[in-house]
Parts: sequence; C-alpha cells; structure tokens
Amino acid sequence: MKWCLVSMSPKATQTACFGSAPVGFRRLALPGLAWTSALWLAAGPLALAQELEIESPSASEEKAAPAAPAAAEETASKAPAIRETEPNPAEDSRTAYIREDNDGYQLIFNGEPYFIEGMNWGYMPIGENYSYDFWGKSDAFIERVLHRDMGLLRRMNVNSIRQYAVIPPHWVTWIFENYGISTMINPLFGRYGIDIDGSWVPNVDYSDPAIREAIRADTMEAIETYKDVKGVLLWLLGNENNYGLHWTSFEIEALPDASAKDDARARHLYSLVGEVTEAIHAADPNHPVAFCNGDLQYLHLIAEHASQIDILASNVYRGRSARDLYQRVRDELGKPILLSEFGADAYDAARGREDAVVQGSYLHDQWRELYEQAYGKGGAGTSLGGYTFQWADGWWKYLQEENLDVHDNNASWPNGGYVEDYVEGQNNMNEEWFGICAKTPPDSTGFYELQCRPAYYVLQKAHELDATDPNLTVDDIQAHFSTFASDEFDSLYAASRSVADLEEMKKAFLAGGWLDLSTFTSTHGNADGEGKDAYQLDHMESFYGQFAFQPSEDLRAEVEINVLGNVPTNRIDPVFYESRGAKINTVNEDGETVSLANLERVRLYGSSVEWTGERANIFGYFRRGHYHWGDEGDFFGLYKEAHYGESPDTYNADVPIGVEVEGKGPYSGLKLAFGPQVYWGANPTVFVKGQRQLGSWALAAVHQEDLASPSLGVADGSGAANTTGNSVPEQMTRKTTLHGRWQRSGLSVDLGGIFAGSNKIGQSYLGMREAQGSASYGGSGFDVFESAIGWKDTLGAKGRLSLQQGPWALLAEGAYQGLVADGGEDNQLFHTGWSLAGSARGNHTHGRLGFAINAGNVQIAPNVLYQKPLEGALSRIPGSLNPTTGKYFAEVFARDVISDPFAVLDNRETWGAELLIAVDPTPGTWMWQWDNPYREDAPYSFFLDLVYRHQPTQRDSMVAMLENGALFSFGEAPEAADHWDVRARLIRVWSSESRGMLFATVGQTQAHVPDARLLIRSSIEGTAQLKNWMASAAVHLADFGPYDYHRDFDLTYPLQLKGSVYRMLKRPKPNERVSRWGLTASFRTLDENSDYFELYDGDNAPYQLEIGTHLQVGL
Amino acid sequence: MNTTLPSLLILGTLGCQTESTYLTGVDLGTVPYPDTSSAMGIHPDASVLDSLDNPFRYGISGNTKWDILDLCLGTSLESCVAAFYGWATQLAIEPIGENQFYTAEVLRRIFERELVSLADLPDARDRAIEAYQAVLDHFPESSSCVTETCENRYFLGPLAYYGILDLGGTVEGGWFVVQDTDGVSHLMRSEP
Repeated sequence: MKWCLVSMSPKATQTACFGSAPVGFRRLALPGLAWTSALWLAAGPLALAQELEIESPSASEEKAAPAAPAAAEETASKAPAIRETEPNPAEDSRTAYIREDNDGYQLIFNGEPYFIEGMNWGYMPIGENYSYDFWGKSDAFIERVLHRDMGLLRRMNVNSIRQYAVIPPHWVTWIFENYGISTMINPLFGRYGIDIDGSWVPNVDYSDPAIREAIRADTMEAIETYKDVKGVLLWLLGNENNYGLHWTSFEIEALPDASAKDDARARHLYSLVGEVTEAIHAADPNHPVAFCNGDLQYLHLIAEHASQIDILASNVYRGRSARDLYQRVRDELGKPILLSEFGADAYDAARGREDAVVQGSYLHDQWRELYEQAYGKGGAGTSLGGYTFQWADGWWKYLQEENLDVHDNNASWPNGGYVEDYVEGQNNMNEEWFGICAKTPPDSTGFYELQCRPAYYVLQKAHELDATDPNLTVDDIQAHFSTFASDEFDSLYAASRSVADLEEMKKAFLAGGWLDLSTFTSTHGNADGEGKDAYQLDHMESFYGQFAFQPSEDLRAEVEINVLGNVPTNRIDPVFYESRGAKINTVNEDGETVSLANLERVRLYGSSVEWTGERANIFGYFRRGHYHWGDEGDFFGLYKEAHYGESPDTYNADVPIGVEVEGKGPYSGLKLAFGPQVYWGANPTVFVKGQRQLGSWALAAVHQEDLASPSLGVADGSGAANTTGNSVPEQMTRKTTLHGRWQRSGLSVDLGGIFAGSNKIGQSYLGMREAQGSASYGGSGFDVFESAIGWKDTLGAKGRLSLQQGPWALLAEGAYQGLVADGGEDNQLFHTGWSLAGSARGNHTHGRLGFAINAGNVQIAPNVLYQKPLEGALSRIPGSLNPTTGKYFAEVFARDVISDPFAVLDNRETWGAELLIAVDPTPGTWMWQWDNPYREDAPYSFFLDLVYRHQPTQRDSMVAMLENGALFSFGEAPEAADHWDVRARLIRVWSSESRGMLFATVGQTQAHVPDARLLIRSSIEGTAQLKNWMASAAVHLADFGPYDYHRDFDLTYPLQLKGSVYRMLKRPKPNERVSRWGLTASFRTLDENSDYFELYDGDNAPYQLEIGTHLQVGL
Repeated sequence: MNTTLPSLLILGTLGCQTESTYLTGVDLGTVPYPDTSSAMGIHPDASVLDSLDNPFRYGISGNTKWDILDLCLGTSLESCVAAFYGWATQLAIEPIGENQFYTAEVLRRIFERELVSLADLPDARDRAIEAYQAVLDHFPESSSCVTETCENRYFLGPLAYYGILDLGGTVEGGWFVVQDTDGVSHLMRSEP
C-alpha cells in the first residue's frame, strides 16, 4: 500500500509517495468538550504532572525571560476571568486543551500554559528523497540522530516538533522524556491521496462518500495509535488541503464560475474536517484538534463547516508580518491559530547566492509577531505559537527525484512578501534552502553534520521569552527582540560552514604531486645507434598527481596518476618508467615505417585503500608496498615483504597488487591477503594467517594457496612489463606452516614446520650421481635417474634459538626442507646485520651459528653457515644418439623453477663464514634499520662486513626474459666457484642539517648465463648533504649495468661513473620527493662485454656520456 | 589441518616415495605412436612436452633432430616415430616453419612406409596433412637450408602445399602455388 505526501512546504505542488501503510482505527464513545479551569490553573499542574509521571520540560530547563517568572499563586491571582464556562474539575485530567478568555486563547499542556515554540523537524540525508525511511533505521542510529538534533533544538529553546503520523509512538515518548520536546502528530487527511480498497486515489474528491469514509478511517486509526502516547501535544489534520481541491463532478461543473466551483469543493473538505474532528473528540478528549489550512483561504467556510476544530493551523508565507491574520481568525472564526509552517528561505534568488542573514531577519520579525499576538499581550490573543519551517535544508525538494545530490537554487514560486529578492515576474522562493541549518553529505552510516545558520541563533534568542508569563508585555517583547539581529550571528555560521567545507575538502583532495622537467644530453643516440657520434639533446616532462579520497574517517583511498609530456629517446639507460611512452618506429602493412607516438601518456602509477572497520582493517594496494609477516608467526616467510623502491618503475611492473585484511576484536590474530601479485613474482594467491597465545607459546599457522599460474601471462611474453628475470613466477604451489615461539629474559626459541608443494606430488624429476661403474649415461660420467615427488618431499622443519645476555648475543638455526617444501624469504634481523643466511627454499638442509659481541661502541659478529641441497643440481649433458644401438640419451638440462618441481639456486651447497664489525655509538638509531642513513644521529657510524662462500658444486639454471617478455631457461649454470664479498658503510653526521654517507662493496659474482665469468666487481657510492644541497657520486668498476638483464647475460662496463648535485627545498625524508633543481651526469666506458657495444664496434675507447638538467617540483 | 600434517608425516616415514629409475637411454625403435585423439605435432599444440612416451620431453639439443631425421630417412625406419617426437618437441619449444614442416615429413614417411599399425595409419596420414596445412596457415613464409651457410635456401610453403596433394588431401584456406618464369614455386593465397 502506498502513501503519498508532499513536503511541508510553502507551496505544495508535487505529490511524493512512500510505502507506509495507514494504521487501523476503533470508534469510541464521545466525551465532553475540552475547556479550562481556574482552579486547575492554580493548583493542578504539579499534581497532574505527578500523576501522569510527566516531567515538565520547563521544570528541567528554566528559560531566561526578560521579566521575572511569577509565582504560581501570583499567576492565579492575576488570572483573567473565564469567559464562557465555569471551571470543570474533570478537565484537569486532559493532557492538552485550549483555554479561552478575554485575553485570548492559551494552549494548556500537562496543566500549564504552553506557547508552542516549534520546529518542522525531519531527518533526510543529501541524496535521499521522500522514500527515505528514517524511522526504519536501527535504534542506535535513530538515537544518535535524535541526541544530536533534539539537543540542538532544546538548546535553542524549541519545545515541540511536527511529525507525520508515521513516527513510531515510542520515539515520541523518548523525545519528550529525554528532551522535553512534545510532538504535534499530523495525519495527512488524504492530502496526497488515499487508499480505497487497495487502490491508490491520488486526486481526492472530498464529496465522494467512499473517500470521506477512508479519510475518516485513516485519521482515526492514527488517533488510536497515538492518543495514549506520552509526549503527544495535539492533532494536526492535513497539510494545506485547500490547495489540493481539483476534482470535477457534475455537481461542480454545473456551477457558474470558478470561484463558486472552488467554494463547492471546499465545503466538502471542511464538512469532512468538522465530522472527523467530532469523531476525534469522542475518541480522544485529551488532545485538541487543529486543521492545517493554506493561509486563511476559505476561512468563512471553515467557520461554517468546521467549527468543531479547536485550533486553526495555517501554513503562512506572508513575509515579515502576517498582518491581519491573527485578528481575522479571532473575528471570523473565533479560534486560536498556530502557524504550522512559516519562515523564509536562505537563498537570494535575485543575486544568486546564499543569504542566511536575511532568512534570520525574517524569522526574527515573524516570531516577534507570534509573541505579540499571543494570549494576554494586548493583541489578537489568538497566537498559540508556531512551527518554524524548517530544521534543515531539503536537497531533494526541487524535482524531488532528480539531482538529489545537488543543492538546487531554482526558485519554485514567486512571493512578493519577501522583498529582498523579489523581482516582478520571477520566482524567488527556493524550496531547498528553508533550513535553519545547512547540512553536509552523509558519512557511510548516513549521518550528516549540521551548520546552524544565523536563524538558529535568532530563534535561540527569541525563544528565551516565556510567552506564557502573564507579566510579559508587548513592550517587553519588542525590547527583547531589539537586543539581537540576524547579522550578528553570521560569523558563527560562516565559521561552522568553513569547518564543514574543510571537512568536505578532506574527502577529495590533491595529496601530492611531482613535476619533473628534465633535459638529457647524451652520446647514446637512439635505440638503433643513430646519433651516437654527436651529442644529442632531448627532454622529458613527467607529472605525478596524487589524489586522495576520504568519504569517511575510516575509509581513505589514494591514487597517483602519471602524465607524460615528451619522452627522451637518447638516454644511455633507455628503460625507465616514462619510457613506456617513448616513440616507437614500426612498419605498417604497406611496408612504410610509421612512428607511433603518444603511447600510454596517462597511467595509473599507484593506489591504495585503507578501511578501518570494527572487526577488521582492510588495506588494498597497487604499486604500494606492504610488510612481511615474519614478526607475526610467518616463520618461513611465505608472505614476502614488498617494498621495491624504484625497481617496479624501471620495469613498469604493476606490483605489488592485492588486498590485506587484518582481523580485530574477536578476530584479532587473523590475517588474510590475496591478489594477482601480492609480491613481485607471486602467482595469483591467497594467504591466511592465524595467531594465538597458548601458555608461554605464541603459536601461528599460515596457509598459502596459489589460485592460478603463471602470473599475468608472463610465460607467453604478454606480461613483459610486469616482471624481470629476478622475479619469475614459479610453479603454482600450496603451503602450510606452523610456528611456535617461546621467549624468556633474552632467550627466544622458534620452532616451525612446513608442508608445501603437495600439488607437485607425482611430478617427475631427474637427478644425477657420479657414475660408479664404467657405464654412464651417454658416456657422460654420470648416472641419471628419474624419480617423482613424494609426500616426504613436501615436509620441512626449522628451529632457531636467539639469546641476548648483556654484551653477548647468539643466534643458532637449523633447518631441513624437503625437495618442494619451499618457504618464502626470511626478512627478520637478529642482533645485527648479518648477510650470510640459510636459504628459505626447499631441497636443502642448513645450520647456522652467529655470535655478536659488543664492547663499548664496537660490535664484532662472526657468523658461519653450512648448507647443502638434498638433491644436487643437474649438470648439462648433451643429448646423444647411438646409431649402432639405436638408443637415444636425451639431453639433460639443469633444472629451473618453471619446468621442474624444484631447483638448486640459493640453496646450493655452501660453506660460509662472515665477520661483521660495526661501530655505532648511538644504537638507538639502529644501524640496520632501512632508513638509518636518514635517521642516524651518531657523529660516526661504520660497519665492515666480510663474507666468504665456499661453493663446491654448481647450482641449477636461472630463468631469464627475452625482450618480448617470454621467459626461458638457460638450461645450465656457470661453473661452481667460491665467492668472497666485502661491504662497508660509513655515515658521518656533522650536524642535524649536514651529513655524509659512503657505501663500498667489492666482491666476486657470476652472471646467470652458463659461460659467465667469475667477476671481481667493486663500487663506491657517496652522498653528502649540506643543508639544502645534496651531492652524490658513484664509481663502479667491472660491474653489471643497471638492469637485471645485464646480470642475466653477463653485461658489464669497465668503468661507470655517476654524479649529481641538487639544490633542494628541504632535506628529504626517505622516499620523499622534494622540490629541487640540479645536474646529473653518467659516464661509462664500454668493452666487448658491454651492452650496446656493437653500436660502437671499431671505436677507439668507446664510452657513453649523459648529462641531465632537472627542475623538479614536489608537493 | 590438525590431523592432516601428522598423517602426512606418517605416510612419509612409511616410505610412500616413488622409486628412482636409472635411465639407460631410450630404444628409439620401440617408441609408441601417440594417442590419435591428440593434436600432437600440430602447431600450436604443445602436449608433446607432457607425453611420457616422448623420449625428448626434457628437451632436444640442436643437432639431434637432424640426426634422428637422418636415421628415419635412412635405413632405421623404426626410429621414425621417435623422429616424430623429436621434431614435434622442437616445434613446441621453437615454433618455426622448419620444425612444423619436418614434423609433417616424418609423419608422411610413417604413413607411406606403413611404419605403424594399420589402425594408426589413417591418423598418420591425416596428421601429416594437418601438419602441412599448419605450415601454410602459420608459417607461410618459412624456409630451410641444406647447409649451415644456407646458400641453397628453399621455401617450405610450396612443399607443404604439394605434400597435402601428394597425400590426397585438400588444401584449405585458399592457398595455391604458382611458378615464375624461372620455375620457382611461390605460395599464394586468394583473397577471402
């Protein structure tokens, strides 16, 4: 069943419908009419209030009236004579009624004179319309709203609200008991249609007997529902029903003119009003009945046909003064009047801007008149008060179903009574701007904030008056109203509005930006080597805009967009983030060379979402880093750390991408992560972790389940932009780990088990042993066997003991991990910054023992490792065919992580030893913290790390990537070789604004190609920061180039020099992009092992040089 | 979870491991003909890499495919099925026209010399035709050489075209061959 209404508005022209069923009714015996009693006036209110357990609102919150409140006895002694009837003690029991004497009319409520200082109150968030069901929300939400709104109303001295007959009765009582605010219940009396036997009749014909009966039934059902509800003040029937008399009939059409026709229709309306009022009086003698008329139209007909009403209510929009309205009602109707709606909008239609001051000034004058025309003030004495229209702006009212999120400034109708913005022939009444308060868009719960306009404070001051005070005179009223004006409250509204605007701006704002304007002058030429013999200059414009969205306090999203201008093609390192947009030359179908420019000019650089919930926090990330769970029970490092610095930029890799969910409250300890590539090289996967404290043990379980493979199609080359040879997605897997940690006074014991790769059970693999006899596989000297992964190969265990006692620290670790029992990576640091550690990969066992001895500022930390794979690497054996026997000995390749269930890589056989020496006078800024170079506060800090790895056997094959992104295995590995490495770092802090850092490495390494050289490479990198200047320099000797493929394919440069000088706006924090300008330079010599050497073949002492100028502005 | 891991530990310790088998070379004369329902040997199918019957499933070195082709074309006809696996493996690893063409050639020889059972012979013929057709459809410009220096390059498209006709097949896709004034065949395709 549909019930329709139109907003309580000055000019209700549009019908709106919502689904709320009218309630049933019972017909009761007629009681006597309500009237007043002087005796009750003197002694009754308190007794009645006690009897009915009604807390008088005025008793709990005294009003500040200009005249001193009179004592009850004085009031009684000054009470005017009763005009019509003698007092009747039975009347004392009525909740509300009208008392009339020569001074006018008074509403008596709960035994006391009651001047209505009311408000048309409702709750409607922006974006909603008439279908919004506030009373259908949860009790908690309704209470939250009511506490806020009723609190504000109470503080502005409002004592009554108007509500349609849909408010649940218990909320009427709740509002009254908590805030002393009564409710005028408003059955709509068929104003916007009525249900007749299940059919909705929108255009009500008040002459139709069936409709009349339906309206009566509908109204009486409401009366029955509310009549015994504490807090109900009176009944208001309809809403400007006289503006909705549009039906036609033979009777009407037979009348001579429009006026006669209108009168005829109105007679039917008002006769029904009279009849139903009688029925209400019979059913409920405790509440007076008012009819809501549009202004005073048909007043003579009301007097003629609806004299049963106790009060005439009227929606009045006459401007600053209602003029003769109060007197006419007394003279022509002999009833009191309450203004069920009145007010002014806060929008200046003539000037097209908000004007809340004028709104307040209208209400100032309108309320002054209401007080002046009240009982005993020497005027008409008919004013019972009124209900200001309205509490908050109604953003839905213009068009009602469109632009609900737009605060529409279209005026709907003209009214010359509002002279400030009235222009002849133009509308000036803005329906959506009648709010005493403005409002903000709602948060995720539907709750919005209010900003009180000057009208709020005007009313607050106005309602300080106690119109029921018999000593209050017209002069008092005028004097009081002369003490305040609307404009003096404008600054309060402006401040409140500004705060709200700022809050709104926080919901969507520019969170950061980075503009890079650079030039590059180089000898590199383009990718084809053209221009290498002369200096070429190219330029780059790249902008990063970081935008944040925060629709609520607990939800924040951030996106960063990169926009390209020109992309240089002459850089000596031609692969960088912006190079995705570099011009490409290709050949079209006609064989013509075509230059493709404007590729990917705009790209989503990164984004994140953080949602803080009651039961869980959600973190979504795209090219934004996340931490590992190693400190939370992920003992085998399944969920890898994903902070990659600039690497994903270099390769345009969309990593990491995924979602983390962290349980809270009852779900504390639970974590979930999933996504297409939660770390670089991950398959689409999901992680679940649970953690519990059981006695003195912290227990945790982690499960990983790969959902698809390979990640992002890299195997066929389509994922070229998403990976490098160092982040190859491995075979799909399934892993489960258990971990327990016991800690006591410097000692911690970690024990863990892993069950991983069960999906690989049954996969065959090859192994080899040195041949024992004369025969061997194809004459290779090896016996080759084929086996398959079994259950045992999926299991592993690891234990770790860490002890810190005074200056001594110890770390002991042992692990056994079956062939496919792969962990992730161990990111945890213990005691110091050792770099020699056991593998996390399966197919190995290892033992490790480290000591750290602290003596003053010096730490000496030896560390040893033994590690051996369970199944060794495969040496490549060429395939061979024996023509004599017809037997074929298939080629044996070294394993790789794509084709084989396991491989020997960093889990290769190793005897390792490490000696770490560190000097750190201020260990509070821990040397091994990732941002230590920025935060170190010791004048000097230093470490030297010496590592030797004896690696007697080969590893298996690495996987590399072709230019088109296709992955391939080398099929064999370089010869086994021992490696030594030396690392050293020195940080010198001169002052809080000046520091220097030196980082040096020298050591042996091998590339990934089978014939890789055993290199001794070295580098020294230094950075000095002097206030706002920063200079960096780096020297690399016989080192790989900057890209992964340089290491894959053994591409080195004899000498690489890099340098930069920048003037910065401020000292940058780690990963912060600050405004700066400066110069960079890169120089390198080439030999036959260098990338692009073929371009310079024949040159004498070939080299590449690049000089860059940079103007970079960061926000 | 609580019961799974102990169960697996028990299973592991009970020795449910697969026994290792030492490899002593594959007798190429005993390699079985592939399942006739598969598209093995026809690009882009790569199921040959997963076939346990394939002696080259772990890879095939550069010259082995030619060596085994020589065996098949020579006196060791029984090695032709193995030769098929060899070329199909090479095709799956490196999808070029040469590998597709010689896969077809080996299949043709298997059919013409009746080197498999009578039941499998129709499949060998059909598979050979499909392999030739794949040369036309996927590698129409492909060529091969006789020597390493490649001075006698020959185009495989026309050969594949005639191969289909020789086997009584129908060339699909609008392909046809024309000869220029020098007598050189060129593969052409009519507009659809």
